[in-house]
This record gives sequence, structure tokens and C-alpha cells, in this order.
Amino acid sequence: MTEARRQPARLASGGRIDRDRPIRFRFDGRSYEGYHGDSLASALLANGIHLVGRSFKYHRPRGIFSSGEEEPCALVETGEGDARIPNRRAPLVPLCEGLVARPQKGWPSLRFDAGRIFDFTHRLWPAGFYNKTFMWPSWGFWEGLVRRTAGLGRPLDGPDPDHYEQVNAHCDLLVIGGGPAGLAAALTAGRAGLRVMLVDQGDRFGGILNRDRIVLDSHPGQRWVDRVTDELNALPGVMVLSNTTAVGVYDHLVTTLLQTGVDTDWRECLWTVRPRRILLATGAIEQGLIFPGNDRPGVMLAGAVRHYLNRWAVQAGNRVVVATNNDSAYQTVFDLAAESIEVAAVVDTRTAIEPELEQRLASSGIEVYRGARIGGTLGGRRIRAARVAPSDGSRPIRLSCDLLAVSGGWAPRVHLAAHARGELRFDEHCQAFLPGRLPDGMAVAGQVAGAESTEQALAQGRGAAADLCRALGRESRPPDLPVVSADSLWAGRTGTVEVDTGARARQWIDLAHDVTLGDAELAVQEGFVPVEHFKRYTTTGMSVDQGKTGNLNAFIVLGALTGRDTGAVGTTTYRPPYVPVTLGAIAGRRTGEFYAPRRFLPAHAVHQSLNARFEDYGWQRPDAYPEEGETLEDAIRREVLAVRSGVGVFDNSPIGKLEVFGPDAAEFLNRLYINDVPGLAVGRARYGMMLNENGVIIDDGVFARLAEDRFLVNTTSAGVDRIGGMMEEWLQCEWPGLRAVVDDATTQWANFTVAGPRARELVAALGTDVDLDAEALPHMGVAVGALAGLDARIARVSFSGELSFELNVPARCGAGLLKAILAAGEPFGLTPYGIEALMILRLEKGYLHVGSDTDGSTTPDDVGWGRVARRKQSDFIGRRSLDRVANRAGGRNQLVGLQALDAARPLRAGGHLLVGENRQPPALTDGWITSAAFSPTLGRHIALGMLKDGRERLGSVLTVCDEDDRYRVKVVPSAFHDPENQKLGA
Amino acid sequence: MAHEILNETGQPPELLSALAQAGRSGKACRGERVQLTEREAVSLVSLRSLAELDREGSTLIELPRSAGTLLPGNPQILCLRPREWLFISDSATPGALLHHVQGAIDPRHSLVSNRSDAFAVFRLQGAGAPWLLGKLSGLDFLGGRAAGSHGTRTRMGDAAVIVLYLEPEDGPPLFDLLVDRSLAVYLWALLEASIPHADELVESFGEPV
Repeated sequence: MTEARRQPARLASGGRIDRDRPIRFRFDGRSYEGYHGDSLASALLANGIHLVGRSFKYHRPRGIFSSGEEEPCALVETGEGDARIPNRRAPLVPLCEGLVARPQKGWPSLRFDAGRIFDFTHRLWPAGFYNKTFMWPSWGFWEGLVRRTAGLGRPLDGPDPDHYEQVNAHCDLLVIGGGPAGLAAALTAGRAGLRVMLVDQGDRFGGILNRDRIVLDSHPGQRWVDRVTDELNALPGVMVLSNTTAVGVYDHLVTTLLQTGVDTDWRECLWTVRPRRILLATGAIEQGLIFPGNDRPGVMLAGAVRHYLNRWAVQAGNRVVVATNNDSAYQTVFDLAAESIEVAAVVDTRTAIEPELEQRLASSGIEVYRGARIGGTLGGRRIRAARVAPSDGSRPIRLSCDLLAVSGGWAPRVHLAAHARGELRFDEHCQAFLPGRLPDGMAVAGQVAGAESTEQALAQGRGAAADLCRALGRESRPPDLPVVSADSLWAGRTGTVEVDTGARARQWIDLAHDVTLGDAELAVQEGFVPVEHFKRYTTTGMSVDQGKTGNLNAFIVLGALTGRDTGAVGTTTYRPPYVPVTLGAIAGRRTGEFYAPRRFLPAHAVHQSLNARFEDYGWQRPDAYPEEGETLEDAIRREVLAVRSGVGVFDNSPIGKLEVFGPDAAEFLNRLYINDVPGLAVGRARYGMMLNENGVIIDDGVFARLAEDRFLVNTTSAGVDRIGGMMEEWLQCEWPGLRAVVDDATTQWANFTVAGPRARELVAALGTDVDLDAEALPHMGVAVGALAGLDARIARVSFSGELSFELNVPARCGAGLLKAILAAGEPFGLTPYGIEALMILRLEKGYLHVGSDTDGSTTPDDVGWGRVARRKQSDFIGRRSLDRVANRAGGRNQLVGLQALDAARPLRAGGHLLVGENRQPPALTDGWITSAAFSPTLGRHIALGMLKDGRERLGSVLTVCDEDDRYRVKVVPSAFHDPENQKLGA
Repeated sequence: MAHEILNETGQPPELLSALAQAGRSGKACRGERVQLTEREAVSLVSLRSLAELDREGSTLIELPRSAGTLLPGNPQILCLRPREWLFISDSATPGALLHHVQGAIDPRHSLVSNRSDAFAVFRLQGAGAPWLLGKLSGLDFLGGRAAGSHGTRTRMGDAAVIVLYLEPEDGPPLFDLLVDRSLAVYLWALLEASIPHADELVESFGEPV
């Protein structure tokens, strides 16, 4: 690092910076020094750096324009490597030791940017140029180039190394803005015992008191601020947050706050606050003026010049011209003069100014051009002169300067009121939009409410808080307000912003998006007159700053070009967020392991000890148990063959388990299932299907009758919440007269399936008093008894096509039971098997997997269960739809088995089926493969598919189109294994 | 056929912990101002009643009738919604609690189920506990001390959680969290990761009013 440069533009004294704590930082590859308390912008200005970036579209040189969140030009990237942060506004970047910042645009360098060619050829690139050009060969062809050239910032290449926090909070009163009005309000409400949150986007409270030399109670205003914040911090129930921006207000006043971490291990914290009332004391944003060359580095808002001077002791220029249409810029003149900084002239668009001001200027020897405007600027990387166009039309006067401080009036920060659908009204006096009808529960105070002095702002804040306290049933004891011994100049009557449509040079409306007056004229010429259309055509207000210094002028320009009052033009819709919010803050903790919840099996630790390979199927489930040196495919084949030839154990705990109880439980379920329910005997189970009102299958599974009035309904593991919710809805909304309740017992139980020809031997070896004989406990039988020293529910249910026992115990016993099964299974060569093997077993058996083999149109008849549905006498959900013509007509897709003519040929789910010879896409598909796998049992690849009139095509040969692949398959019955169900009944 | 299966005897103690079952060691986590512990031996029984219980059924125990009301005692009784209650005891076994409820409620009109295995129970204690919960749920935990004992359902991250606001006579705020047992590790990790910031919030803004 080269030696840091001194700070040539730093005043010898003053400012609220810690000169004993110098900070070294780098910008654009060079080292500089600032002080603790600086922002990057103030430190750059202190070092005489005015050129900090290039503009969005034309790559014009740009400097620092403002001192706050409204900054349209000084966008920088900070950090290095994965810690880079793009699109940071330099005034909001706190200076810290070792900070590395760089401009975002400028190649090969910031000082010489080859992209400036777009500036020199600007007539080719007016607003909306990309809508009219680049039509050939396609916009997509050009889009990348345009975006690379015009884009802002680079996203990170890797994961964000920072972490972000989120907090929810509730309060009685949320005060947004910590200036005089906000502080007075918070103090009033806090003393009344309300739960108050006071937030301010700055690192210091005080608002205007930080920027201007306002004296309260004969002391600098900051002393009063410190006293009030100390009291607020000590009051119970009051929370005071600095560095926190309110970014959105939503229904019921729910408000989001973005807090920037300072000396914290998190970068940002997103607060969601639910206040009972909101007080906006958000102040106002100074606007620029529209004149030729108003974008040069060195053109800066007058309030920002004052802010840098008073807060950071930075002299932003040596010879200053001030251009304004209101009184507030005169405060800049006087503050500069007080520091012996030369003010070359004041250019006021108004023809008359307050006599007092005129007198003070005269005594300072500063010339005032009344009724005049800036006719142009000169300079390259920094302004070097301004041309004044006098009101009488005489020859322009050239004033050399290195800083042009401009003030086009103040636009109240009404955004948050507008977020909550508050109305705005145009105020002629201040030439800006003020809050009109406010949302319920919201009030305003201070400059946002049109206050014109510090005294007025303080009184408004106290008064509004007192009103809100009363509305919340609390009597307040309003605090004494400080005496304003010396105020700064507020805007007063603001002159209209004049638009010179005759000037040849370009005049910028929106600095951030390089929108010019010419663009506005073109938009109007092409009929984009409604303000929302105008915004989208010109893209004004659509950049990082969202038009905070340009929107008002854009509305004024649109009014001037269309012969309307600004109030009649209206505003565009202000939407959250008020300032950019990082995706990290929105995500909060929902990244990495918290991206989605991981659900663990009751016996997860046991599976870990078995070297299970886990996959997330909604739960962390073993998909296989590979042995050392074994591939996943080999493990799956081994597990399938073990179940077919010996015995395996599968953890089926996630299967949905809904208990349905009540005298009408059977009738309730009978209305849900296509199967007959009342006829089911206690101790027996049945496979069933549920349909929606359209007759489409939505879930399947086994339901068992545990007692006359009690059933256990198994759903798919992913479907239990959905089906449970559906049951509740029907029960509560459609059939409230049915006496039944539904209770989700899924996680109460651990469930292990022991399957295979030797399953009965193994269960018996565990030790049980349940008669496992096929007659005593037949297929679809349920019993309760002792098992491995535990009490258990045992069911003869199979999804593998093998003799199978489902063993259910309370979840806390799950691990113990699995260990017992593994121990007892050793003599039988017991093999644990995972989801992958299970899915092959069920595919071999031709069992349906709802969601894989069905879609949003599959009816029971399509999968071979139409007879069951038709045979049922009573009504059930979806029954009527099954009789619709579309469901009864031929040509429906039906479930079939498929096997490739070449046994070694792998099949893939998703491949399309074409009936007939020599048919090729784009022929209409006749179906598709829904499930496919290699069958270790059969030694060939097999599949299930939905095929048009599939059952009529058994034995026929089809063509499969799988992307570019073509091969032939034979249509076979869906049950590849044990079609006679001999094994199930064993 | 027996409906409820308890298996209360002879269980290895480590199996009571939902965290241990999921292969996670450690059942306590301590921040500067908040302690998080897993409570392993809490018995939970669910009661779902039919409308008849209101009209003609008899109960030998007083049931809170409005959702969110937590009746203190042993067992505690939380009304989750109309005609749904949860009985909570850290001294009775699941079987004893189950029999207690079954004996007190008209069985014709009610479904009484052991749910001791369905939930993991975490205890949060300390000045930072309301902040920790406030970080993860949209409910007003900071006003909880004045609100008395009650319970509520909410979401933390993507987990549905029942929160019991316990009102200690004196001492720091106290909460029990009931979460689906399969999500115990997820919620635990989320709470654990959030504790440092909760500590920081207490440092910045103090204890709840």
C-alpha cells in the first residue's frame, strides 16, 4: 500500500469526526486517509476526490451529488473477493480501517473510459432505443452486450460470506425519523409509558441538526439530541435504533426496517415491526435543478455541501456558485462564508427574495442574480465554470467555480405513507407532494408534513405523539421543547423549476439512469403521457436511487411538456423497498442448513451406524446402504434381491398416520374413499384411493379399522399435511354434522417394514405373542401385541409385493426396535433397504406411486381401479365427475407395463410413447413413461407408463421418443412380479 | 384392540432425547442471557372432543375453553383450539397421564391419545428468551411477561411450534417450545444459531417490559 495522501479539503477544525483516529482506506487503487466518523463520500471529498464513477448509460464522469440515501451517482463496490459488495452509495458507506472501494464503471480506467463513446454518439441511444433497434436477429442476441455495457455492479461469484439476521418486534408507536420532530414525538410517547421504537437511517440522531448549525437552548442542537436519546434509552419499553432505514410499510402498518450492522458479526438485520401506530418524521430530500450540463462532478446539492461542511468539516470546493429556487440554499452560502470559503455568486430563479436575505448577502459582498438560471456548465472531470443566463435575456455571464451547489426545492419523504396507500397532494407553496389522506393509524410531523422551521417541527412531533397517545388510551405529559435560539434557513416559498426546452446541451432529469430532458420530450412526442407510461419509457426513477433526486423534477417536466400542472400529472406508484435491500437480509437465516427444515427419523442415529446414504425426501431417509467398495447401483440391486429372496427391513416411519375417531368416522371416511369403509371389519385394513371433486386421484394408502369408531389412515408421507387439511376442511365446512375428529399421529409412531419370504420367521424371532400365522394374521390384517419386549401394532401390509409386516411402536422406542430387528435378523441375513430399492420393488409389482404414475388428470379407471369405484353404492368425493363424458370416453391414458425389446436397453421416465410404425415428433404423443428402473429380479429394464387406451394395447410394440433417442418397447401388464399375488397371501 | 401403546418400562434413557435419536449430541446450549435445554421426559396427551362433549358429556377436570389459554397445574392444560386440548406433565408418565385424562373425560365423545413421542420439548429461559423467540416468530413475546401464562401456535423458520408462556413467580422469562419430534434438530440448530444475536439484542435494548 502506498503512503496515504493528506486531506487537502479538510478544514482545520470543526466537524463531528474523531481526528485522533485516522483511518486508511483505498479507492480506485490509491491509498487515502480519513477519520473515524467519516463516510466514504466525506473522506473522498476531504481528499479532493470528485470523480468517483461513470454514468449508467453514457459513461459520463460523475461525482458525489448528495450526502444521503438519495445519492444517484457515487455508486461504488467495496470489499474484495467473495466479500465484494456492489452498488453501495458512497455517502452511506461508513469509513473503516482497511476499507477498499472502487468505482463500478470505467474501462480501462475511471479517468479514461472507453465507454464514453456512447456519450459522443448519444443521439443514437435515446430513451427506449433498445425497443426500436436490435430487432435483428433478436433482442436476445444483443441483450448481453447492452447489459454488460450499461449495467451497474457485478454480483458475487460465490456464496455470500456475510450473514444476516432478522427480528420481529411489536410496539405501540413506531417513530420513523430521528430529527427534531421524531425525537420530540418519541420522548412524548416514551414518557407516557408507550412501547416506542425510534429509528433513523443515520448513524447519529438529529436529522437536520447534524447538517445545520441550529442552536437549541443556547447550545449546539446536538447537545439536546444527546440528552433526549439518553433519556429515551433509559425509558423502559423504548427502543432506539440508528443505522436503520424503514424500507416498507404494508397492510395493518406492518413495517420492515433494514438495520446496518456496525461492529457486529452480521451485516444487516431485517426487522419486521407490527406497530399500533406510526409517526412519519422522515424529513425531505433536496432536489436538483434542470440545466445544461447539470451532471458534472462538482455539481452538488446545496444541502449536501452544507452537510459535508458542518458534519465532516469538508470543504467541497474553493470557489462556489450557488443556484437555487428557495431560501434553504442561502444557509449554505452563509455557512461557507463563515468558513471563509469563496462564494462567487448566488443564482436564484425567483425574482424576489426575502429582504433580510438580500441584506445579509449584501453585507457579505456576494452577488445575487435574481430571476436568473444556470445556462450551462464547463468542465470535464470536474466543473470549472458555470454560465448564468440572466432574466433579461442578456448575454450569459461566465463564472469560474469548482463547485456548483444547487437546490431545486425539497421533496418530503412521503414514500412510506404511499406504500400504505396514503394519498399525496401537490403543494404550490413548497412545489412538492405532501401527504394528503393518511392510512389509518399513521401520522406525520416535521418537514414531511410541511414544517418550515425547527420550532414548528418540534411542536408538530410533540403534538402528533400526544394525539397518538390519546388514541391509544394514554395521557401524555408532553415534554418542554427546547428554545430555538438560532435556526437554519428552511426552504420557504419555493420557485417553480423552469424547463428550458430550447437548450442544445443535454439536461439531466435522472442522474442515476442518464435520463435527459430530450428523453422526456421524445416520450411525450411518442404518446407516453400518463406518468406511469412516461416513467417506463424513459426509465426515470428506476435505478438504484429510485429517483429520489429526480422524480419530482420528472413530474414537473412532464407537466411542462404536456401543459398540465404538476399536481395534475401526479406521481408514479411508490413501492417498497424505499432503499435497496440485499437478498441476504430477506433470506436471513434461511440459507445453508436452514434453507429448508430437515426432518429426522426416530432411528436416524441407527441408520447412520449402518452407513446409510441419506437423501431428502421431505425427511432425511436412507436411499440405500452401500457397503464398502460398492456403488449405489450395486447396493440397490443387492437390497432388492435380498428382499425378494430373504428378508429386508425398511424404515417407513414418515408414512402419514391420521387417526379418525367418532361414531361417524366410518361414514366420514366412506365419503372420502372410493372404497367401501363401513364394511371393513375391526382388525382389518384396506388399500384405498381418495379423489378430488374432479375425480382425480389425490392420494392413496392403506386404512385400518382399529375399533368400530376408530380408524388409522395411512397417507403418502408427503401428503399427510395436505390430506389432513382436506379432511378438516370437509369436516368443518361441508359436513359439520358428522361426529368425527381427525388427529395427525404421524410422528408419534415409528414404523419398520420387515419384508421378504423369511419375514415371518424374523418377526417370530423377535419374540411376539401375536399369532403370525397367515390365517390368524392374514394379508391386510392388524394386531396388537408384544414384540421384542415392547408393545407394538403389527400390520400385514406390503408395498414390495412380498410377505411383509409393518411393525409400529411409539417413536421413542423406534431406535430400540430397529436395533432389536437388526440383531434378530443376523441369522437370516437381514438386509436393510432404502427408498431406492423400495421403489424398484413396487415397480416390479406394478404398484402405483401417486405423483409419479399419476398427474392432475388421472382417474381410478385410468389405473385399473374403475371397477371398485363403480361398484360402490354410496357417494364419495369425485364420484359424479367420474361419469363425465371426458372421463368415460375412449382415448384416455391408462397405466401399463413397458419393457424394451432390447432387454439391456435402459428406459427413462419422461420418454414419450408413439403408437404405430415410423411416427416421429412432432406427432401428438400417445403417452409417456412414468416410472422406470432396472429390475434386478427380472434382469432387465422395466417401466410403467400412461398410454392412450393402454389396456387395449397389451402386447403391442411402441416407439419411445426420449429427446433424440428412439427405441422400441412392448406393452405388458403392469405387474411384472407375482401377478397372482401368491406371495402377499403367504 | 388396544389403541394406545406406551412402552414405558425398560427404555434406554438416551432414547428419550429427540436430539440424540437424530444423532446430535448435547442437550443444552447457553448464551449470555438465554439458556436452551431439551426436556426429555415430558408427557403429552392430546384430547379431541366431539360437539357432544360440550352438550351432554361430562368431564371431571376443568378444561380451558378459549384457544391459547394455559391452565397451570400438574398437568398443565392448553386449549389449542375449540375442542382440542393438550395435557402436559413433567412428573406423570405418559401412561399415568393418559389414564388420568381418560378417567376424567367421557370416552364416548372424545379421542384421548398419547402424544409424548410426537413432540420434542425445549425450554428457554433468561432475559434473552423473548428476544430469541421474537427473532424467529412474529408474535409479541416482548409483551409476554404481562400477559400471564398462556400458549400459542406459531412458526419458527419452517417449523410449526407450540409456545408455552410460563409465568415464573420471580426470575427471568421462561418458555417451553413443543415441536414435531422429527424437526427437533432443525429447530434446535436454528435457536442455537440465533442465541448470540438475541444476547446482543438484550444488550442493546434491555429486558422486556
